[in-house]
This record gives sequence, C-alpha cells and structure tokens, in this order.
Amino acid sequence: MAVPGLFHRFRFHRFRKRAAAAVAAALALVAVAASPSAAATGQPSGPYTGMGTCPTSSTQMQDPNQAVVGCVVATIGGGGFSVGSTQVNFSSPMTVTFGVTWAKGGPTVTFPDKTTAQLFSTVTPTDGNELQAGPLDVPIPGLSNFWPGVTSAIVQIELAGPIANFAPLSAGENYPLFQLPIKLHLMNLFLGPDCYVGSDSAPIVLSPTAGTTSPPPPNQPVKGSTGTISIGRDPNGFRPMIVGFNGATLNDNALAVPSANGCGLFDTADWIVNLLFGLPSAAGHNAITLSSVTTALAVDNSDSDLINAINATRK
Amino acid sequence: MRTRTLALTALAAAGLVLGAAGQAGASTGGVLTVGSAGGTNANVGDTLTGAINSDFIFTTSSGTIDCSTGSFTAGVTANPAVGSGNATESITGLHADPANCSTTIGGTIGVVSVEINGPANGTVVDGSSPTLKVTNLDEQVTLASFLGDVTCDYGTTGSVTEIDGALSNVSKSISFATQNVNLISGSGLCPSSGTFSGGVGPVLDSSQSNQAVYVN
Repeated sequence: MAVPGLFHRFRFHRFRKRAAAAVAAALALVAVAASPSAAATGQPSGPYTGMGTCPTSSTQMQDPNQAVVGCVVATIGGGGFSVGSTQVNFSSPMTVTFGVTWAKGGPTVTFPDKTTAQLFSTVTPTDGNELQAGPLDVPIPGLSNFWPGVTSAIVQIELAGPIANFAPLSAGENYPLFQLPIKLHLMNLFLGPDCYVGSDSAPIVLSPTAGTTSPPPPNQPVKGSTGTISIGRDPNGFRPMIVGFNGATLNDNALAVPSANGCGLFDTADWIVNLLFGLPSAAGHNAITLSSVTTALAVDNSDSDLINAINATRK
Repeated sequence: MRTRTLALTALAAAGLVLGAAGQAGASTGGVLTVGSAGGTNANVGDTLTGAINSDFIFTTSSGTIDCSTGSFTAGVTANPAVGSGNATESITGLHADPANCSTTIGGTIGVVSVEINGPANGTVVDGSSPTLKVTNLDEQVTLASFLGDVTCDYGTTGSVTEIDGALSNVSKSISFATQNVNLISGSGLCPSSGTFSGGVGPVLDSSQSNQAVYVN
C-alpha cells in the first residue's frame, strides 16, 4: 500500500509546483515504474504460490467485459488410468496451470440443490505449459517389460486443446469440474516419433468429477471426494476470493478412447497398437482417477486488483 | 301499529339470539388466543404473520449473514385448551429480504435469497417459559460469489433435532437465541454447521383482523 502513497505524493508535488509537461511525463513514468505490477519481482507466495505464470496480462483477462477473472494451479499427486484391460498408474505428479475468465451473462449450470455455477473459460499460462506431466512407462500387453521404450511404450500425456467449462462450484456435485482434452503420445523404438492415441481434432476428453460418475456399462458409478475445502481472503487486503481444495479425488469412467494414429512408418503400426491396447475403446470400458488433487484458485472481479494482489506477495 | 312493534321486537330478539350464538362460536381457553391473553382462541387454519424485529443472524466458522428485514408466516394446525396439549403450527415462511442482508462469509459478495424450503413444524409449549419448538426446519440460503450462486440448506438434521424460540406476551414476539443448525444439503463450499439468532414480532393473526397473538 506504500506505492499508491508514493504516487499520491508525486501527484501532490506536481500540482503544487505546477511543473512543466515534461516533468509531469517523467513523473508519470516514475509512477508506472513504481506500480506494484512493474516493481514486482520474484515468485508469488502464500495463497498465490505457483501462480507466477498466470496470464493476468493477457488480452482475455484484461478484457473489460470479464466479470470475473482468476488464476488456477492444481497438482495431481496420484491416480491412474485404464484403457480396456491396460492399467497405468501415474508415477509422478502432474501440474495444471491456467487463467480463467467469465463474462457477465456467461454460461452457468444449475444443480439440483439450486447452486448455480459459472462455467469459466481458460487462458493459457504465460509459459504455455498448461499441463505438465511426467512420462509414464506403459507395459505392452503380452510382453515382459525389461527394456523401457522397447518392451514398453513411454507415454506422455499432452494437452489436445484448451481446458473448458471449469466449474469450481461443481465440487461435491455429480458434475465435471472441468473438461480436459488430451492425447497420449506413445514413444517406442518401433512406433516412431508421431504415434498418438487421440489428436487435437479427436481428443480423449476427460470430464472428471468429485461427485459420483454416471458411466455406461460395464463400468459402475464411482464416487469421488472434494477433499478439504478452504475459503480465504487476501492477506494484504485485496479483493480476491481464494479457494483451496486439498486431497480431492476426481473420477471419469465414461470416457471413450479413439484409435492410434501416426504409429510406425506411414502409420503402418497403428493396427498393432490398436490390437495390443484394444483401441478404439468405447465409453464404459475406460477410466481415469486423479487423486491427491490440490487446487488453489484465486478469483477477482478486477484483473488489476488480482495483479496487485499477486504481486504484493512476490518474494 | 301493535303488530308492527311486535314484529320489530321479534326481529330484535332473533337478532340477539343470533348474536349470542355467534359469540358462542368464538371459543376461549386455547393455548393461542388473539387480542389478549385469555382472549378469543386463534382458530385452526388461521394464518399467523410477523416481521423481523431482531436481525436474523446466521453465524458460521467462515463468517456471518445478517438480515434486518423479513417475515414469518405460519398456519395454526391445532390449538387445544390450556392444559390439554400443545398448539401446533405449520411454518411456511421464514423469509429475509436480500436487499437488507449482508454477508461476511469468506468468498461471498452478496445475499441472493433466504427462504424456508418446505414447511417446518412448530409446537407451542405453554407454561412459565412458553417456547416455540421448531422441527423439520430447512432454511435455504443462497449467496452470490465470484464462482456463482452458492445454495446451502441449514436446519434440523443430524445432531440438531429442533430449534427453540422464546415466546413473549409482552412483545408478542418469538426470539431465537444462538440456536444450532446443521447443513442439510448444498455446495461443498457450504460450512457444515452454524448458529441462528433473531426474532419476529409482533406475531399477528391475519385471519382475525391482525390481532396480536398471545400464548396462555
């Protein structure tokens, strides 16, 4: 709060001295340089930890038509996915980072308990790394995995489009928290560099919920968990609402998994991948669980206030 | 002339009889009376109303909702004679005006609505400390937040079986003092419990010319 004070002192000085336009311009430059956003260095801390790449300066978030803007950081500590009979556990944490926007009159969904959740659009973080996930070593069915990458496929989960319909208020409801389009990049000596399951045009769309799923058979409904929810205020008196979800478990067992593409020379190995992993795999035969999910969400009705709030915690 | 006088006398007498019969229909001695303590009974089916005369304050671990105006509505479902049982009510309205509500609950920016979600049961226990015992209460509170409108239903569930309001013939009011309520349903963002305080009064019988209601 000292910086606005400094700014006011400059303004007072300017009016009192009736300085020349050049001096005023210089003062304005100084004021800008001294503003929180420009002066801030280091990484955000406290409730904004991990939000250093939040795209608060993007045109989407600075659009005056936005009623709410925010920053999201989620860490997925465990879980796994199954495609047909192939089960893969996540061996390292994944991190999801993005900005969110909701324009006045934007999309909402109303639940049976009358809670009305805003469906946020997402904005790619400044470093472009919306989803950070480590590679997974996936055994090839029927083979003993003694040589990763040769007797197994190294699978990298990649984003296949923007995260959509982020609905924080759906926590606890039987409704997806967000929609995450992904593709699986399969890396194996014989599959070449462009072997994927799913694509940007036909992604695997994850719609995980902390509530209870409603899959087609043979899968059965499974119940997730919101974990512990906390609601906090900005430590420096700014306006953001800060929501934390700790230890949540999200499930989606209604997803379909498409065929492989780009595997082997001239896609000649697609059929092998499809055969080995039972692709395409219809909805009801696949599942993903995201466990130990910790999410920090800061939302505000003013992008500049959000910027100032984040910058005030930079160390 | 004599005949006319007799006829008028007969009509007057008949009127007196009808009047006496009408008075006999407005019984007395019930747990709830109107106009005065020990006055004419509130009838089964009468509608009782009252305005908030002491702020409705709902307190949770993450803040408070405070409403300064609103109303109470109930229908009388039983009104036995004093000493022979309790009067009962069906409480159909426990409303607060959102415009006169404020919230300090973390993350919320306004109050959208405060309404009863289905009738609650009220039992008037008379005696030296007359009390309105409310069961089956489901009070629905909807709050605006940056994430949308959060609806939380609080009332009598789980460890909380009733909330009690003190009845006063002096102020003709009902006063709830720090009554525990639990979350019945709602978003995961709703605190799991809280307390409710507030008052309504004077309580009036709108079916009997808005006369004040007394407990005997």
